[in-house]
Amino acid sequence: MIRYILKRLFTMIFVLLGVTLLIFTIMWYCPGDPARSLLSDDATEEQIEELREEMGLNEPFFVQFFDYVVKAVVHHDLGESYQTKIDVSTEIIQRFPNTVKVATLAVFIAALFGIPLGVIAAVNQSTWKDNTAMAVSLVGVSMPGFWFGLMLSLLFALKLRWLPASGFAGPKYLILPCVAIGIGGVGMISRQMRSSMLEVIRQDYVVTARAKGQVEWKVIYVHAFRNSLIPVITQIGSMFGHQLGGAMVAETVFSIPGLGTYMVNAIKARDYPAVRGSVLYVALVFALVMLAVDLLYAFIDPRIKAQYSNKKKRGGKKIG
Amino acid sequence: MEETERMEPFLKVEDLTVQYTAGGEVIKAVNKVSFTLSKGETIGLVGETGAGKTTIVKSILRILPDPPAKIKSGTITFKGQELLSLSEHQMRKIRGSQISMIFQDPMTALNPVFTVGEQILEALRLHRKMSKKEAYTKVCEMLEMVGIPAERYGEYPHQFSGGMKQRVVIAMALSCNPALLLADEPTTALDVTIQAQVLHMMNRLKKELGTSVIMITHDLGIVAEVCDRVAVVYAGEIVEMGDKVHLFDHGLHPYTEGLFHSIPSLTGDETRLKPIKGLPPNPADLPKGCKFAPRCPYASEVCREAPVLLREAEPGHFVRCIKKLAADIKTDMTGKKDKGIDIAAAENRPQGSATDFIKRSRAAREVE
Repeated sequence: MIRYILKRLFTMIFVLLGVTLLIFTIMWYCPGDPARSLLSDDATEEQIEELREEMGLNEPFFVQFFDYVVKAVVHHDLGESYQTKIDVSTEIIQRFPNTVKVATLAVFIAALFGIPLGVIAAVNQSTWKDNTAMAVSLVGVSMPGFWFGLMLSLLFALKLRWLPASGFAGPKYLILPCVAIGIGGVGMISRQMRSSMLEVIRQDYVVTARAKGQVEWKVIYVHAFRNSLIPVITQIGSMFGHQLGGAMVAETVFSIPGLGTYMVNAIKARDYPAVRGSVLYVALVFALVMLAVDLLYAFIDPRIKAQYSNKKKRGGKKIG
Repeated sequence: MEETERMEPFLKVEDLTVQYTAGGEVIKAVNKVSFTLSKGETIGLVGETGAGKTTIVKSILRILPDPPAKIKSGTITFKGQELLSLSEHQMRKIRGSQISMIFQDPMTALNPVFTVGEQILEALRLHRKMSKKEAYTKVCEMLEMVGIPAERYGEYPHQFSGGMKQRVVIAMALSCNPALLLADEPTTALDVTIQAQVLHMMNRLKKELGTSVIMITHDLGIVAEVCDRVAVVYAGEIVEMGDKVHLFDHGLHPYTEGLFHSIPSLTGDETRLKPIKGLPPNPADLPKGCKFAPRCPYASEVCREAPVLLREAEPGHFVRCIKKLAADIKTDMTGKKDKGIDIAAAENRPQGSATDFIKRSRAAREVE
């Protein structure tokens, strides 16, 4: 198991290097000049050229790339933001907790409602319960998050004045954005849960559990549930990974100082260090979340655990 | 108490009718099936795939998927209790404790995410008031009884071979000493050597625990080895039922005859098997008269007109065939040589007791 984790962490280095190279290349060919956008409109060509030289933008591609990688690996330095002149890693770390809070709560809401909704739909297949649950999830999936966010904010913030419309100054501020993001997740998770559960409740071992005299809710939530979780966990994991990378729309609608807005602003201003830093961060977080998801599989399904462990040991255990 | 037991059979299934609804079609899976079973007795349900055998036993345990399955009518009396009228709560107390089931496919009957020990323990903890420790000891005993070392309690189904999994399923089914065991093709998924082990074990357990068994199989060899009585099921009906030896020696129904002919004989110079011609009828559109008539070499207009009843041909031997009962087969047989079963071969059918049959079918299975 530990060997598996180490192997995965090792491959992650290459993933991050690849991502860095990719983002470097994209930014290199991207139109726009950070030096020009930093200076005012009446700056002369000489001034711009001077600034480019100072920022190291005139160096060849690979020199810039290796310079960046060496700095990042050896000095843990992702460079300074062109706009704010603040260390990129410092800014990411500052915004990170906000994003984590929003992502965690949004995914939690999505799972909390999505999973039971899917189970209820599957257990009562083709009845009004199933139809209602699936109609709700269809609305959730097809409704654009930003629109739903605006509607929520209109109703609860402007009309009823129960919740703040924007900003980020306490738990109250989390509710609307998380619900706005979570509702789409409810739809996706419930649909996945339903199809996965439908497959599992037709399995023989579910009938075996019933034949033992087990009560129905335990048959579903103990015997069938764990077996149907794998695809759902994958989906929750990827949703969580995406949200940790910043929920741009929700952050914009509700003015949350998270990573999403940071990245969008950086791209707009051609703030190379900030873009690279945040993309690298998103890649890292996503890879780590996916690793966690894969490890979670092992806890859910002993067959997967056996695959992760030493193969020799596994082969030796089977006796005819 | 004893008197009532003598009067009431241990298990009595009467006029059981089960239908499935699929895509607007009504599939008549089980049609007015009646049989009884006494304590300690083993009855074999024999028939082709899709004949309704599994549906019959699943109805007894009331674990048919509803929808699409629906028990339309009938009664199932077990130890004087009408099972079909019990509440779900009362029924749960019987499932796994008084009546338990061994499923056909051991590969899928065990939950892959729980250890085999936990799965056997579950049934015990549900029905017996035992502490965790007592239950654990009992599970270990059960595992040892079916020939699995108790140390393997904590292992998962994927770490076991097919035969061992089936033994786990058997241990699970027997853990609460059920009075009635429903075995749904317990050996079909296993290879021949493991089959023998499992059958041997079931026979031993039957003797030790005095369990009554309903054994579903389409292997007549297994019937010969394990059962006391046989019921031949065709298109959701019992077409013939009787004592094993009697039925093997004097099978009356043309379908039973056909079944015996589809087993290779080792004595004759047979180059080809004699299958029953045709296919079982579509259960959504059953023939009006005898269900076997379209494939039967003896069938006449009378057979096709009205349903044929199950009648007692000889004491304890029931058959659902007008022709055989009227004992006018000989006259009917003339001129029907080209229809289905080869009549000449039917006449020369190897006669002999069930033990001869066991030998034959064992040998045939080994040849396979």
